[in-house]
Amino acid sequence: MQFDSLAFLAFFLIIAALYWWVPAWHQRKNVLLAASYLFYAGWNPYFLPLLVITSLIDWRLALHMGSIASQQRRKKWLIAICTMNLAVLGYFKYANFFIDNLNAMTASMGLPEFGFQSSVALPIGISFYIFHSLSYCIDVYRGGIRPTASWRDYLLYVAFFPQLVAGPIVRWTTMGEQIETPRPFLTDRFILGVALMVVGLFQKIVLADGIFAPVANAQFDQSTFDVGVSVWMGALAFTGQIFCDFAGYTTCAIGAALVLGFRLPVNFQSPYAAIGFSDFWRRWHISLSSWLRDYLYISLGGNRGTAFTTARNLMITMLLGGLWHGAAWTFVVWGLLHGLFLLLERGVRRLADTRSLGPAGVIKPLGWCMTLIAVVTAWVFFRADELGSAVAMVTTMFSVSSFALTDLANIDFEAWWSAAIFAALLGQQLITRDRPLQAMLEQLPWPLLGGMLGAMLFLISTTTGQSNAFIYFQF
Amino acid sequence: MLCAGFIWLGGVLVYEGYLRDQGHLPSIIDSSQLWAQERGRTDGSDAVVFIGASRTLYGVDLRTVREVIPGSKPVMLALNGAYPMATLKALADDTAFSGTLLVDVDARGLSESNWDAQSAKNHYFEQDWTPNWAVHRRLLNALQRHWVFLTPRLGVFPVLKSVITDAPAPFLAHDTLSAQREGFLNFDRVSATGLSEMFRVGLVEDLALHPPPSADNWLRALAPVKQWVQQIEARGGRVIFFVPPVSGHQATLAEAAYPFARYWQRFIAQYDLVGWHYRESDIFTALELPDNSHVDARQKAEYTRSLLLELTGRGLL
Repeated sequence: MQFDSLAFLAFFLIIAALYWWVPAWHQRKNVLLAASYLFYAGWNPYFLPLLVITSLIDWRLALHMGSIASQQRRKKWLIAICTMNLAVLGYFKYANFFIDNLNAMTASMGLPEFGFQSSVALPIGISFYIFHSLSYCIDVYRGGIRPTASWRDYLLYVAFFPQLVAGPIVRWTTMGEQIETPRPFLTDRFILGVALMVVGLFQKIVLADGIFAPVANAQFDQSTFDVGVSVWMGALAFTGQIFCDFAGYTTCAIGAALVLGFRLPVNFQSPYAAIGFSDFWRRWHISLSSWLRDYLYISLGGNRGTAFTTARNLMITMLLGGLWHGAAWTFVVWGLLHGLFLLLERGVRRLADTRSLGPAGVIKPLGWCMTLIAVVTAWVFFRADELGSAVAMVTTMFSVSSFALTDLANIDFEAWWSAAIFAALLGQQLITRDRPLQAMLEQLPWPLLGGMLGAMLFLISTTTGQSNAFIYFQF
Repeated sequence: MLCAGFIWLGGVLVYEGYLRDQGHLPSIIDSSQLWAQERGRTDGSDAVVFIGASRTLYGVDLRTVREVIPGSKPVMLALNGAYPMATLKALADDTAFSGTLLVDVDARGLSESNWDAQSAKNHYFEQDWTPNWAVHRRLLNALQRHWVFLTPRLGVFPVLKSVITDAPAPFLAHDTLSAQREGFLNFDRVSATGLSEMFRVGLVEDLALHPPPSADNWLRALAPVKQWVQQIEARGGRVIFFVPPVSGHQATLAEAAYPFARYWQRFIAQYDLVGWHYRESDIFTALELPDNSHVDARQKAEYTRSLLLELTGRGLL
C-alpha cells in the first residue's frame, strides 16, 4: 500500500479507530500485525508468505542463538542466519544483475551464455525488512539485547506497517520496549502524528511528484545532454525530488506510527545543509547509514587499523551501501563516489586543521557549497538509466563550452519553478539545520500550524496527477 | 486540527466554485489505473472487449451492447489517441481471456510502427497494478464523479501557471468518461469545425512523418496478427476487426494513403480473418460526423445499435 493513495487513507482510518477501540494491549498488537500484513498484501499478496516465513525463521534462530553460551557456537548460528537472509536478498534482488553481467563477460570472451534468468519480481521493501532482521540477530549475537520469546512481537517489529516497506530501519533497541509495553493514547502525540502525515504527503505529492519529478524526468529521459543549464536544472530537480520523496515517506511513517502511539527515529535532518560528506551521511537516511556503520563498517574493522584498511573498509561499506539501493552499476558508482568523497574529506582533515584553511565565515559556506555540488553530481549516477547517460550528463555539467547565456531563454516555466522551490528547500534546510521537524511543529503556535496544515491539505488535494511509486520502494 | 480542516475545506470549496464558474464539469479522468481496472475485467467467455482508439472510446455505448448481446459483459479498453495492437497481443497472451474481442483498427493503425502505441498501459497492468491501486482507483472514481478540482489538468499549479505566464486558461473539455471508461462527447461545448481542421492537419502531418509502407510490405509484417487471433480462438474466443466510420477529410485522406482495396481487404482475405470496414455499408459510408471522426454522445446509442446489428447481420458477431 502507498501512503499517497486513497486506499491507505481508508485503511488507516479504519485501523487507527479499531486499534484504539480494542481495550487490551495484546489485542491491539494483533490488530497491528494483521493490519501490517494487509498493508503489505496491498502491493502483492504472493510475497506475503516470504515475509512471514523469513521473519519466523529469524525469530526462532535468534531465540536459539541467544540461549547458547559459547561465543564460537553463537557465531556459527549468526553466520547461518546472515547467510539465509542474504541468500534471500541476493536471489530476489541481485540474481538477474549477476547473471546479466556474467553473460556479458562470457559473451565478450566468445563463450556461450549462462541460460538461467529469474523472472521473479522484486518483493517490495525486501532490503528494509531483511536489514531489520539482521540488526536484531546481530544484536542478539553481540549480547546487546535479549531475544524476545514472543513470535508475535517479533513479527510485529519486522512488519510494523508504517516502516515496513521504506524504513526507517528501526532497531529492536528502539522498538522492543514500545512493542512490549502498552502505548498510551496522548492527544498531543496523536495531533503531531497527523500533522507529520500531512507534511509528509505534501512533500511527496506536491513537491516530489508535482514540482520536481516532471522536470527531472524530462531531463533524464533525453537521449542527448548538450545544454549545461538544462542538465543542471534536471539534476537539481532530482536532488529535490529524491529528498521530498524519501523524506516525505519517512515523515508519513513517523506520523502514522505516532498516531498509533509509537515513536520512530528521525531519518533525515536537513541533509542538503551538510558541510562535508560525513556530515551529509549523519543527516541523510540516518537509519541506513548508522546500520552500515554499526553492522558493516565496524565489523570490517572500522578505523581501528592503518590508513589503508580504514580506506578499504570505508569503500567496501559505501560500495555495498550503493548496491543495497539496487542491482545496477549506476548505484555501485554512486556508492563508490560517496566513498571517495568521504576519503577525500578524511584526507583533507588529516592534512590540515580546517581552522587553518581560512576564517570559518568563508570555509563553512565553501564546504557547504562543495558538498552540495558533489552530492548533486552523485545523484545523477543514482537516477540515470545507464552509466553512459550519467557520464554524458556530468561531463556537460562541468564543461564550460556547454553553457551559453542564450540557453536561459529556452528554459521552460516548470524548470524555473522547480529551481525556485529547490532554492526555497535549501534555504529552509540551512535555517533549520539542526532542528528536528517534530520539534519545530510542536513549537508552532496553533493558528500558524493549523493554517500551514490547511494550506498543505489544499495543495495536496489540488495536485492530483498520476501517483508515482515512492522511489525507495524499489529498494 | 479543526483550523486546518476549515482552511482546507474552505479552500477546496472556493476553488471548486471558481472552476465551475469557468465552465468546467466534473468527470472521471482516464489514467493507467482506470484502464487497468477495466483490463482486470476481461476474464471469462462472456466478456465483450472493445479495443481501439477514440472512435470506439467515444462511440460505443455499453448499455446498448448489453441490450444487443444479452448476458454479455462489455469492457471498454479503447484508448484516446492510441492504436490497439499491443493490447491485442496482450489479450492473446492472457490465458484468462476467452471472450469476444472487437478490434477497432484501420490500415494505418495496423502498420508496424503503430503496434506499441498501447504498450505503456499494458506494461502498467502487468507490472504495477496492485490491489492497493484497485481500491484507490475505485475511491477516486467516486470522488472525481462529483468534484472538478480532482481533474489533474485543473490542479492549482496548471491554473497558476496559466495566470503567471499569461497563457490561455485551461480549455473547456467537451468529453467526459464514466467509471467503466465509457466516453461521451458533447459537441455543443466545442467548435466541431475547428476540431475537424485540427484532426485534418494532424493526419496530414502524421502521414508525412510516417508515409504508408508498400501494401506488400505492410501485409507481410502483419503475419503475427494471425497467430495472435489463433491463440484467442484456440481458447474459444473470437476476434472481429472493424473500421468505424469517418467522413470528410478524414475519409479522403485515409483512402488516399491506405486504399481500402489494396490494404484492408487484402489483410482480411489473406489472413482469413473476421473483419468489417465501414465502406462495406452504404449507411455508414454516408454518415456525417460532427468533427469527421467521432459521434456526439446523443448519437451513441443509435450508432452502437446500428454497428452491432451490422456485424450481427453479416454473421460476424
